[in-house]
Parts: sequence; C-alpha cells; structure tokens
Amino acid sequence: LRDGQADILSSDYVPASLMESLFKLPAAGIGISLPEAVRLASLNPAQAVGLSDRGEIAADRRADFVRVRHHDDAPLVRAVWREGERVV
Amino acid sequence: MTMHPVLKVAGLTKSFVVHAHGDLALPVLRDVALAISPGECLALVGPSGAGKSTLLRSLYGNYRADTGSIRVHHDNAWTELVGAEPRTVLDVRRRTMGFVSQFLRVIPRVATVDVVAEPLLRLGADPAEARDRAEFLLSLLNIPQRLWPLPPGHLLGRRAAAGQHRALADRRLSDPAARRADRLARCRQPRPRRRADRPAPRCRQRPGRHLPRSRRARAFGQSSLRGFTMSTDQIFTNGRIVTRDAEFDGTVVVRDGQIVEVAPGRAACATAVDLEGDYLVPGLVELHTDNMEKHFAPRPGVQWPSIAAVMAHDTQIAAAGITTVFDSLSLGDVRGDTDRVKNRARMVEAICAGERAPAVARRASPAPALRDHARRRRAGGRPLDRPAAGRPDLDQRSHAGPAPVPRSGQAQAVLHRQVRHDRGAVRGLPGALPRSAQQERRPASPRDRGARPGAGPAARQPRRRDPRACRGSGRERHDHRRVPDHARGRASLARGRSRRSGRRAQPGAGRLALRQHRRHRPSCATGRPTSCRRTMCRRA
Repeated sequence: LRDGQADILSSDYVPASLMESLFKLPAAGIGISLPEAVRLASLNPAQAVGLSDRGEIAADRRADFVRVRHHDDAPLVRAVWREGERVV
Repeated sequence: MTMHPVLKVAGLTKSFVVHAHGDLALPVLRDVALAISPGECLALVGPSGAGKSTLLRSLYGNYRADTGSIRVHHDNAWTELVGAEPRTVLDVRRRTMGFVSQFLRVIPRVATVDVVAEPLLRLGADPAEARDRAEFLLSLLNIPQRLWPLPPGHLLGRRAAAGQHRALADRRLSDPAARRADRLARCRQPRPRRRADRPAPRCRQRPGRHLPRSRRARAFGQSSLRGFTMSTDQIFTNGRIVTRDAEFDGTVVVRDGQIVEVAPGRAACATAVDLEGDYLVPGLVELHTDNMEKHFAPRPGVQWPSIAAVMAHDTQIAAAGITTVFDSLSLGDVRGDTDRVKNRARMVEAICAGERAPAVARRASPAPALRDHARRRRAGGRPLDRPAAGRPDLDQRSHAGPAPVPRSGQAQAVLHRQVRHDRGAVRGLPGALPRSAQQERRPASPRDRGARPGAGPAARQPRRRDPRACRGSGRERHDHRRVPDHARGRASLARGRSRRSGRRAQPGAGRLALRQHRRHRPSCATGRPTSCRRTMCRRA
C-alpha cells in the first residue's frame, strides 16, 4: 500500500474490516488520503470486474452509499443505501 | 376504441417557495410527463409529499406550473393550459375537466341524485334528462335506489363522493371528446374506488339502458386502471462527501435509485436527509468473502438453516457498508466431508432461492439480494457431484465461464452477489487479491513437504494411546480426541497428504504438526500452523 502496489482491499471473512481499513489508512501516515483509501474498496474493485455503474459517488452512478461517522477512531456505519433504498 | 390521448403532460415542473422559512425552495414536480386516453383511469401513486395533489392541482389550473406543458383536448382541439388565459381555464373546467376533492363537499340536505345531476344542469341540460342520467350513474355505482333521495354526506360517504365524481364523468356523455384528470375518493381507501370503476352487473332494469351501447361503453365499460408512480428526489445534505478524488461538505441528489447530482454546499430543502456532518462514502464492493460459509456452519458440525444463514450473512455484509458482494464458495476441500463441502449445495440453493424470491434474502428493511452471476472454473478441490439444480452455470465442470458482466437493470438488487469458485474468476486483477482460497486448499506439493522436515515422518508415527481417551471403537476414540480448533486445519491437511500418498490417515497428526511447527518455527508469532501456513512461514 505504501508503495502504491495494492489497488484493491478485500475483507475475506471479516466484512467489517473493509470500512475499518478505509479510515485506518489515512491515519497511518503513509501518504494515502481518504478518497484514495475509499477507492481501494469501491471504485477499483468495481472497475476490476467491469461494474461501471457503481463504485463512486458521482452523477449517473447507482445510489449505493454509506453514512459513516468517525467516532473515537472507529468508523460507525450509521446508514446504508442501496439504489437509493435504505437497507441499514 | 381509439386510444388517442386526450390529456398530455410534458416536462411539467413546479416548485414552491416557502417565504416563512427563508425562501426555502421545495421542488415538488420535476419533469413530469404522462398521457391519458379516453376510458382510462390513472392512479397517481407515491408517498406523502411526492406531489400527487400538486400534479392534480396543476392540471386543473389551481397551481401555476413553472415550466412544461399541459395540453387537453377541448372543443376538438388541443388547448395548452400552462400560461393559458383564466377564461380559457374556466371554459375547460366548465365543459371538459372536472375535479373532485377527496373530501366530499356538497350543500347539506340536498338529495344525492340532485347532487349528481347538478353539473349537467349547470351545462343547461334538460332537468328530467339530467336526473335520468344521475340515476343511471348511481345505479352503475351499485348505490341502492332507496338512498338516492337522501343527502350523500351522512349516508353514503365516499360512494357519494364517487357519485359526484361520476357526475363529472357524465360530461363525457354530452361531449365525448372531453376529458378530465381527477382523483377518486379513495386516497385513504382503495376499495370503493374499484367498486366505482367496475360497471354494474348486467341488469334489465338498468336505468341507463336506453343509452346507446357505444356511449355507455365509452363512459364506463371500457375503463382501464393504470398506475403512475410519482418519482421523488431524495436529497442527502450536510454530509462529508467522499468522491473519487476529493472530500468536501456537500449534497447528493438521488432520483430513481441513481445519483443525479453531487455538489458542494448545503441544500435548503425541508425534505432533505440531514447527514449531520457524517461521511458519505460509496457503497463498498467486496470481491472475495468467505463470510457466508461461516453462517452455514456456525460451529464445526452444525448446519444452520439455509435462508436464515444467507440472511444473517447479508445483514452483516450490509451493515459493514458493503453494497456489492462476491461470495466465495469452495468447490472442494482436501477432505471431502468438511462443512464447507457438505454445505456447498445448500449455499448454492440458498443463493438461487434469493434470486427466485427476492424477499427471501431481504434485510429487515427491504433489501432483496440478487445474485448476479455465477462463474465456473475448475477449482483445485473435489468436483461438484452434480450441477446445481436449475443453474447449469454453477456447474464447475464447465471450464469456460461467461464474461464477468452482471445482469443489469435489476433495480431491486441490494447486494449484487456473485458466486466465485476460485481465484481464476478474478484472474487478471493487478495483484489485487491475497493468496487465494484455491491455493490454501490445494493439497501440498512434494516440494512443500520437503520444506517441512519432520512433518511427513511424524504424521506416519503411530499415535500413542492416551489413557484418558474414550474407550470405544477406534473410530469413536478418534472422534473424541480433542484437537485444538486452530490445529484442525493442519490435521486435515496431514490426513489428506497421507491419503494422497496411499497411506492410511494418521489420527492426531494435526496435534503433532502443531508441536512440530512450534519446535521448528519458534520465531513464528502466531504459533498456529493454520495461520502460519497462510503467511511467510510456509514459504520460508
């Protein structure tokens, strides 16, 4: 990650680890900003499998997004919308 | 019957400015387009605040539209109502378009039949004829004749309101080309409306039977019901928006499940969702997770019910902020009877069930899980015994897989899910994935074995009888031996190896392997050959 060699994060068997890492990486001081970290778990994997309709918050993308509060160094997922429909 | 529309709406926009709240702008209608044909009943569908009433009032000219066009067929010509002269609007209202509120508004103590006849009388119809038609209309509504002389308010309620509505519809009898958009009196009660729309059963005594059949049909018989869903913009404001390359305080506008606008700043809209400064990040895309297997076998040997397992998994995935997930299922294992292998068919079936019935894999709040796509490729483990029922694409015996394009247009899909059988499915990703499941589960190669001195011979050594072991048959003793959980992986691996090399599996090999691992790799931080195997230890 430090050398920019990794471009996708995966949680394997701990789903919450993705969001956790998105906020840990910018804090690690290795030159990764939050948007860059977020790309590792959204835009990059979406592009890697040819899903061009999602992966970033931009016009004409699916309304898949997550409301996260950074509280006490922990990302709290407060709401999740999938295609504009709230699922969490 | 002809289906040329008699009312056409295009690009209709209407917003309100609330001066009492700092000139708050409420965009209510945005780009509404619809057309209504004769004999058609259009129901506006949408939650409170979606603009149903606003649309109706705009059509009737009570509200002035900001932009767009409302054209009504009036006097055998198209009349534009947006920006029309008041007298034109009034003329259209008098002869072509009627409006009935959901609240019954009639003069008290006037007989129902007179209320219904009133609009025709106002148009100058003969009183007897108007009354005759009113009776005909009431009979179509199945309102008993004994109630006709009574005032509608107390006794008939909504059906009377529907009668009033039909009286307005009756204008069509005098002007076949006339049309109106209206709302029946069933906003809060769907049933009466269906009754009102349904023609009365055939009856010889039907008062209106003197009317020509065509006119009857035009007025009532051919009514068709159609829904028009009012789409609403969802506005998310006061959030820390994380886009592809920036983060800023901003607002996101969503329409029909798609993001239509992302902008910095706050929206002054009363219906916006206030994110209270929280981050808004894109839904995460997870390409590889084994998390589902865990829910199917929460403990070794326990098989959890499929649907419950999938739903629990979905819940966890969604709550982790993942909106697109690729589930990994093992096709095989070094031993054929592990939980993940035993549950494989159930997992595939549960995924298919989620496809057939989106409700199955919904989260507590609606979240149908659809599995986009299944990939097939031969994995290192045992082959599937048979293709998954109804899903030939889950048969890993086929080597060629379809292109990794998920089905599009599945608007309800919550969690786009893909069954990924091995890492070949995402082969070609630039160094994206950790060592794959396939590699982990592959029986060790001879070179690996050579790299672990002692592992092979140790596995072959006879197990010392533990005096505390259960005294049963050999197999039972075997099963009762307490192998630490974290050593199980090694145990299976060792047995698998012996099987491959044609020797009998040695019970207890896992524990031995653990002991040896500790002896030979004292520097390994984990002290656990299972984890160790995944990292540097195995390669060292």
